[in-house]
Amino acid sequence: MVILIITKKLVKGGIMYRIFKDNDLSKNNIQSNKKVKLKKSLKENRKLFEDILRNDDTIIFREFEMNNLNVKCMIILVDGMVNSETINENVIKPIMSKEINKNIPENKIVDELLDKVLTIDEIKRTSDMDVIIGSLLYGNTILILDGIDEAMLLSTKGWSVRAISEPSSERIVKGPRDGFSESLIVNLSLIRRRISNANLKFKHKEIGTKTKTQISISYIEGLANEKILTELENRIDKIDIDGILSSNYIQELITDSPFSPFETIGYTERPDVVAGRLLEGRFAIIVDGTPVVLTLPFIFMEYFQSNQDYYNHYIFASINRILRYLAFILSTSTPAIFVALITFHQEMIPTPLLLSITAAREGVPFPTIIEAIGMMVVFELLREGGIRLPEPVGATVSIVGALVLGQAAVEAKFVSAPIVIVVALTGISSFLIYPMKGAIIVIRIIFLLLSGFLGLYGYIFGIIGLFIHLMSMRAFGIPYMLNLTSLKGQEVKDTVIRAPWWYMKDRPNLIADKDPVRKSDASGKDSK
Amino acid sequence: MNKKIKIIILVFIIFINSVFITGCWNYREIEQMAIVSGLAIDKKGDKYEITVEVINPESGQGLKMNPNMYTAEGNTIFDAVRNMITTVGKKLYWSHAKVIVVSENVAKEGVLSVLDFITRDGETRSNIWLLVSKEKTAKEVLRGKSEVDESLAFHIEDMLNIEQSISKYHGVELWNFINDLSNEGIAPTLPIVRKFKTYEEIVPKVFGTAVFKKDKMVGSLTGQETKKMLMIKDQLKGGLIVVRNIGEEGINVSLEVLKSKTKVKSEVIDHDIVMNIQVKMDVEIGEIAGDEDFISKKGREKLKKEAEGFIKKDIEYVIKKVQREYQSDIFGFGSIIQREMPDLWKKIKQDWTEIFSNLETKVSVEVNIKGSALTSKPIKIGD
Repeated sequence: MVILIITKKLVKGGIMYRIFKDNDLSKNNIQSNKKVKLKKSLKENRKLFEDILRNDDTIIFREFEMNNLNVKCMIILVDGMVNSETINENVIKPIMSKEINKNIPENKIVDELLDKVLTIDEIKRTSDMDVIIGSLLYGNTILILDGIDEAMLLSTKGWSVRAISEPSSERIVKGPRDGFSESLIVNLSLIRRRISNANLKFKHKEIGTKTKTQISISYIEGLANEKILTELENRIDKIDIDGILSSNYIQELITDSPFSPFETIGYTERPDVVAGRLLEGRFAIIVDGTPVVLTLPFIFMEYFQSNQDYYNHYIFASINRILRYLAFILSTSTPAIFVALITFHQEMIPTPLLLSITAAREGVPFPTIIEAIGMMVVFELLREGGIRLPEPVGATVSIVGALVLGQAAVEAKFVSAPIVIVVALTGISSFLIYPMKGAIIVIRIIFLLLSGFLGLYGYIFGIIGLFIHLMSMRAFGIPYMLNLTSLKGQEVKDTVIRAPWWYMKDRPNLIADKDPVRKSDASGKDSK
Repeated sequence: MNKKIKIIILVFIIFINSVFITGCWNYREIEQMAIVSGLAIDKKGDKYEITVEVINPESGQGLKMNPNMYTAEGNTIFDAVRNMITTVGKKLYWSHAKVIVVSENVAKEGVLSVLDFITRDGETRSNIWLLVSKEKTAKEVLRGKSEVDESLAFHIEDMLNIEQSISKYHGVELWNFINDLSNEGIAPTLPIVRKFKTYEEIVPKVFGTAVFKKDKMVGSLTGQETKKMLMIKDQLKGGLIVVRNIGEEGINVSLEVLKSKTKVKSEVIDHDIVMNIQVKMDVEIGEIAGDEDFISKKGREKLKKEAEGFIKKDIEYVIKKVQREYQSDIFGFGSIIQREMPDLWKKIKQDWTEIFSNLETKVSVEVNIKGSALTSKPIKIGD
């Protein structure tokens, strides 16, 4: 078998092939598990469990007897995944201490336990071994009685969870401070607390042939577009992967235009943002084990929207929004325009500026475009280094970056000062729209190369290309550039500017076309 | 798939085209250019001698321009420009050239042969300033030392840009000169530049106007005359009018021009063409060099009358001078007639030079005194 795999690897070239093979094997395993049912004898059952969960020392088996009935019980649990206190107080203690009617027939004992003894809120009964194992590994406790081929799955999940805290990647000044954590259930509760509505739906699914990660698709029925829901569920059902460790796995597996640097699925760590997007008729995908929640469909203008826009005064929010658009233009175009002007269109530079740039470039050995690309690489190095390094070392990066690579390089005439200014401006601007970081770097480099070879003509070609690309994109059927080209008040109200709340009458069209009216006209007039 | 290939081919075609349809467009690093700031044109025998001021900027504490002068000769201007490479070592870059100084000799022989290259070339701008040098050669003007600007070409440009507060010269850009040259019924003018020695510096000084007939210089106007010429052409934007020797004590009063509007109309009276020139001016008293009261209503009336008479006299003098001495229609009277009476113009077009020199003019001036700056009374001398 091994030889076969290796030879095939040589032929087809692939770790990919091996993973595929592994997946197949695990699928076979699952199928063979499914056939296994619980036996009547406790001993046989224990052996069954020990067999499946061999070499796993975190599994705890505990056998005990009922108070007055001579029936052996066994609980199975995973150490660290359960709340011991609940098990002791609500499972073991009542069973061992409470008297049970002796005349009860054997097949009614389970009912009796459920009705009168166990003080656990959620209990499932099954004899399917596959379900039992899955449930056990998810933090439930399995209770088995001798002579009964049915297990009780007691909800005793109690692993330690990170406290709810403000997400460091999305800090805001004015607004709620809670953020998602790694636990799916906690995350769902955070959303539910904001939208107390029976129409808020959570559809659970399990992805990952090995990890069996729980995910939940959330939406508001009656607002969300059902076509998108069908499409979304289709795409999620088609996912075939061994494990999902972060929501980005799903994002990349189900996104439209997978080769585009632009994303059609957004993400956030803030429940208020998710609630806001749900209210616009969008969908959220919450993935267990990650605080990053996906929202979709995600369109271009959402890159420029920030949750604090909606919590601040609308004039201030609009100014910030315009700044973000400006930052997008600056961070993608500054190096390109600079290089085009310096190397092709010197007549367009005002004379004093031309003179000072010439003076600064005197003696610099490299062509401007090489200089620009080099400094951009240096900037990205510093950025990536600053994120990766442990916090105490982080300060070193900024010192090295600012002093050595900035000042010293200019003084030694390795690079000219204007290019440092251009790259710094570019870098700072790109931080204003951090979610788009990847796309911005790609566009910037393409624009730079184009204008390095063709001057402003190249730059204009770049812009045309970018717009063709953006305009042709769809996010789950929604045009990616939705509303950015519109001139109607209700459509631009939340794009380049953030209109006051009393003006926001409609939900975004196409996305929430089932119930487009956010607030009636009358209430709008009142609040004016 | 087919569609994709089509799109790829289309994009390819667009890119290929961009290489061929771009006009003046070239890759060139900025520090490999010799940035020309000013040009002086002389004639040496049959050959043209051009002198350029090239800026070699140098950074440090502040920006140093280090202007250098290079001279080259050639049979034509273009020839001379190309010959320049042998001395400069770099190709000259003309897009930031600000001024062209033409020597009086060249101007008197005709500037057309000089200007053709400058208008034809792709790099030179059409808003470059043109000047005539009153010194022996044009290059002298650019050779000097100024504390204000390192580059004398930029110095001249600055001077021409603040024309409206002095109005004793009138800057003319290349396109303007060529417009006036090719239009009927108007003759071009250029400002005159001289060399001026101060205590430590030798700086160019722009003052007065060179009068052209066709493309040849025929004479010049002084600074004061230039101001009156601007008044007639309705191009006066500011400056002072000094009314001399008025009142009982014969003192001087400076009036600052706030607004000036001139209407020139032509009419035919008894088969003679008469130009009606109406000047309307808002002024402010800027200086009273004495203690006579020109602020009170009576004083003001007097000042107004004196000023009006003074300006009228000057304007009439300037018109007469240009008519008699130069016979060149720098005021554009011909184009006014052409506009107002096109039929008549067609008849007199041939003899316009002669008609112009005998043209009758009627000048009326109205001066409105709008204020007196910060003080309302002259300084009183106590005992």
